[in-house]
Amino acid sequence: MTGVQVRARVGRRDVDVEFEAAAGEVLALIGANGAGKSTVLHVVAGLLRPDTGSVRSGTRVLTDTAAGIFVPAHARRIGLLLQDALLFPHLSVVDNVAFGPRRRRRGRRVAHQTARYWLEQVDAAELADRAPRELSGGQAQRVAIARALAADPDVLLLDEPLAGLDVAAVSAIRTLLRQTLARDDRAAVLVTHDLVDVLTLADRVLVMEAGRLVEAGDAAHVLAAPRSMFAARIAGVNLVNGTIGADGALHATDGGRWHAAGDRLAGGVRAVAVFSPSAVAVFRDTPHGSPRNTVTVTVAELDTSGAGVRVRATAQADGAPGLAADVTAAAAAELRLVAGDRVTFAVKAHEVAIHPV
Amino acid sequence: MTRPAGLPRWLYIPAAVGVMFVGLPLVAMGLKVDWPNFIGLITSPSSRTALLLSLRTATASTALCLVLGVPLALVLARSEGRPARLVRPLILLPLVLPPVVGGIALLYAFGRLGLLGRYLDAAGIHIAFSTTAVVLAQAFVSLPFLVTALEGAARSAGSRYEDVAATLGARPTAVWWRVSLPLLAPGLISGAVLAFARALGEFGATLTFAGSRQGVTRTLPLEIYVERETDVDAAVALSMLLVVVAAVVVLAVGARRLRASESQG
Repeated sequence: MTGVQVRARVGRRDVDVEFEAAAGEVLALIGANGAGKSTVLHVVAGLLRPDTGSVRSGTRVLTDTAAGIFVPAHARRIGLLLQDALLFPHLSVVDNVAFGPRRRRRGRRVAHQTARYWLEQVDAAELADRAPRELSGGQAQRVAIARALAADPDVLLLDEPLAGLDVAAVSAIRTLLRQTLARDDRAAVLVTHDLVDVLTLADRVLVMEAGRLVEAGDAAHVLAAPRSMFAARIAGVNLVNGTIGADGALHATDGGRWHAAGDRLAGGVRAVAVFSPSAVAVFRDTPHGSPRNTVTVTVAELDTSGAGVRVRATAQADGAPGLAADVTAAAAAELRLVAGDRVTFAVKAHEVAIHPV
Repeated sequence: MTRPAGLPRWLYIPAAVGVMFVGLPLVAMGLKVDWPNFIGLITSPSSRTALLLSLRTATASTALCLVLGVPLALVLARSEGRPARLVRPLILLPLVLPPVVGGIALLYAFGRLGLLGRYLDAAGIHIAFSTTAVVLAQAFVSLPFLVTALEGAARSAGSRYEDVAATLGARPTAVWWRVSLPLLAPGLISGAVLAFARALGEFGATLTFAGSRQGVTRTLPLEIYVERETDVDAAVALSMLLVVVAAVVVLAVGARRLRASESQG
């Protein structure tokens, strides 16, 4: 199959980037709002002409400003999945999915067979005859994924496909994307704001700031040792690497056990536990009672963060950044924390999310 | 009916006067109608001729507005450049222009000695003072109604559906027929209804550019104007007919707008 090579400068939006995604690779493009991520996708999709640059999909040249080549969007075979499902409201679900095959001059019957196949692939076969307005946000996004894949694109672009969905739908659609993106060997570029998307879906991550690529690397590496400000901020959550044990908990490399509420992953799977610094409570002594995740750490530094104090522990055993806890100024004063203190971090199970990586 | 908080009571007096200002003349005319003979009056040979001519020409001019106005509205909605900024007010001009001025302008364009008309005339095509002139005059004044209704709808819909359709492999023409037009159907219908209503009521431009020949260019409003001198009862009955048509149009478009905003909400 085909990878995609992109080099583009768009003066009007102050975007200047160069990257490639290999066949079968999922590339995450992260960065703050207005960094130019969507502009890059539009250049690849053929919805925007760069001032200078080129886009290649496999051996096909789609854009080459020097040679005056600009293949229109409809002839590129590049799929686009946006935050809004944008199902055509005047067509039924199955006709929406059949839209791509029909444009490739497939007969109505063949196009509908293709559509029903893809609806099955996204677990939405029973929605075939519904109207888009009768679908929930998650169902609509499932159908949109089926529609994008039914058009058989060489490259799939995803622009925050999970933003705007409710929590339950997010994890289901994420699982679906993980299955579809991992299974086929087309290149995919995923724009996201969500650390979990990067960890679970992407092979490699590009960080964009003010129209430039400032950092690139495999996802775990970039997040474990972020060099750019955005990667550091997106990595502002606590991350613990480990393997799922027979008890369903994540066994960290330093021997700690992390329990999460909700569905369990199969034992032996490599995974990360993710939780927010604000979910961490800090104790001088080991707390007892409620079922909590606890870990004893050494305080590395204290920082004011907003109205409270961020307690940063020393680096984890595997070299990952130290865990952080956000406590109120009053609590910090009462605990009389100083660097070097041994304290206990405690996190409720329902504040922890465990994701396979 | 409850009074919304914050509105001063005295505001309701001019508001009520405003309602009466519009409603009273219609009621006054309704009282003047010779109801027992109403059907006879609106189906007299001259009335029937005028009514049929009005329906035919208004339908034709609405069709012309659709053929020219739908592409124009879409082009304007998707263009940001200087040409679009100049064209937009030009298209709106007939909306505020006195129709009689529009008629004169049409005469100098399509009349026998007009800018374009002299060549058409040489080719044996005579437009002025024909039924075609009626259609052109109506289209001239009603085009802005269709274009503004549709451009607003197209602008607020944005081009994201079209973008997605293109990435699914649809050529621009396929996008136009399969996506753009169906998405704009509600705006298209209300725009066409408004244009039809405006065409049905056209008077000034028609009289100037097409004249008042019975059965050829004398549409319902012209017939009313003529009858007003000779047969007041017929004029009033026909006026009532136009009021009913206008009311139906306003209700139909209004109901559509309401349903549209509900389904968005």
